[in-house]
Amino acid sequence: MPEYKISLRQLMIVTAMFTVGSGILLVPSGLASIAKQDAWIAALIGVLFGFGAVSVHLLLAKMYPTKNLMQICETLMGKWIGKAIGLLFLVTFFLCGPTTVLQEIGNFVTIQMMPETPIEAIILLFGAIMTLGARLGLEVLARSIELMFPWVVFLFTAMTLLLLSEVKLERTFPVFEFGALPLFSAALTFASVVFFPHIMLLMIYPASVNRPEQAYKAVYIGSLFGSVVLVIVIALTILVLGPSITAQSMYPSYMLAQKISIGNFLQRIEAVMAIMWFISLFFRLALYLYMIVAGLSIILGIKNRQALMLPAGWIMSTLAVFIYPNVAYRQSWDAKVWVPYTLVVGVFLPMLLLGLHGIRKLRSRKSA
Amino acid sequence: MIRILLILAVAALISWIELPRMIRRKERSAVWGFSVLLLLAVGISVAKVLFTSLPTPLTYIAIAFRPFSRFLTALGLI
Repeated sequence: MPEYKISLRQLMIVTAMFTVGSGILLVPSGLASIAKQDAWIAALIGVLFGFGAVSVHLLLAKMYPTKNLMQICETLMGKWIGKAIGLLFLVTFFLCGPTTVLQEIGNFVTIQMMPETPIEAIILLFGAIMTLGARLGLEVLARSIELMFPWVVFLFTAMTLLLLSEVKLERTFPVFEFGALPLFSAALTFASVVFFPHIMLLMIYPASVNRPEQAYKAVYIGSLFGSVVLVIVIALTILVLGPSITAQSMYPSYMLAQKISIGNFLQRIEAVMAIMWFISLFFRLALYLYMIVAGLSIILGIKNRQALMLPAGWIMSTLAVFIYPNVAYRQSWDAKVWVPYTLVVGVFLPMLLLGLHGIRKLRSRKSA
Repeated sequence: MIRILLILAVAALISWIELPRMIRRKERSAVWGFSVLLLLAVGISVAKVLFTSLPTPLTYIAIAFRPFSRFLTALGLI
């Protein structure tokens, strides 16, 4: 079976969807609780942090245009240490990334839309769809993202335009009330949810793109698109709901859609808006699962990666039921562990790899 | 009991979908990887049925990252 290569356009849309992914639902509340009415400024600083991290990833991709992340680890750290570090990275990422987001979907649906349905049923349905999507492989995922992308753009634009009548600029004042430190702290939270997991995209983009030398453009444009969407959503939550309601509610962007009311006629369309998040969360999760299993199969030397998808998806769905014992655990996890974890795997790991690459180059130059 | 039987039935279904093709193509490493993952999945599911409250695996990651997390907290960044 020949390896399928995605086009630059597909890579751009994949990156954009991956960026929007879970952030659109989870980020506004945490950001507003740290930075209050300056959350939108914090988001802009977070985008800067994120682009720093993404350019480190891209530098790594430029050095090794034919290898993916696991193969880069193996070349630079030696076969066994590279394999061990790669395995550790994949297992921890599997626990922190797709599994927790899957429970987040279950929480969201049971809290906001179907309070009488048990969370296991929703996790099972979503997990099964994501596993099937990941099982069909990168080609199917990339093409279906292309198909769904206009809908997400349309729903997002509709939501933004319909909310403009509710915007009150006074809600953002006073600007810089709490000084600079909360801004940086909130920006780090933003970047850790939205941008640092982009390290996982290194499984796709230099090696599985048909023109790897141009991949950086697609990744930059996709990330830019995703971050524009997120900054607009965060700014809207502050402008429409105000900082305190945003910080107190679990899913402020859903409340945002509930606020839409045009002439007491066009209202309660939040379910339509929820479709947008389901689409973006579906693709983020399916891509996570695909990339993690692809990495695992490379480490174990298995050519047929499709076969591993169903058991891996099953593990993901089962773990998702009890990965967070309760919401309080989730909040302390997001605040205290997730940020350092993503800093290590999303920023320090690629920097370490770049450093090793530099040392290797120096030594080969000396011996030559 | 019936729930454990259901789990085993699902495992059988998944093996029935995936295994024959792998065996026909004689992909030994794929069969190994598949069986280990499937065994893990069945194990976690059965454990979830037998014990109502399982500890979350995130605890170990939290312990591993505690020093770094404290350092960042001391800096005021998180």
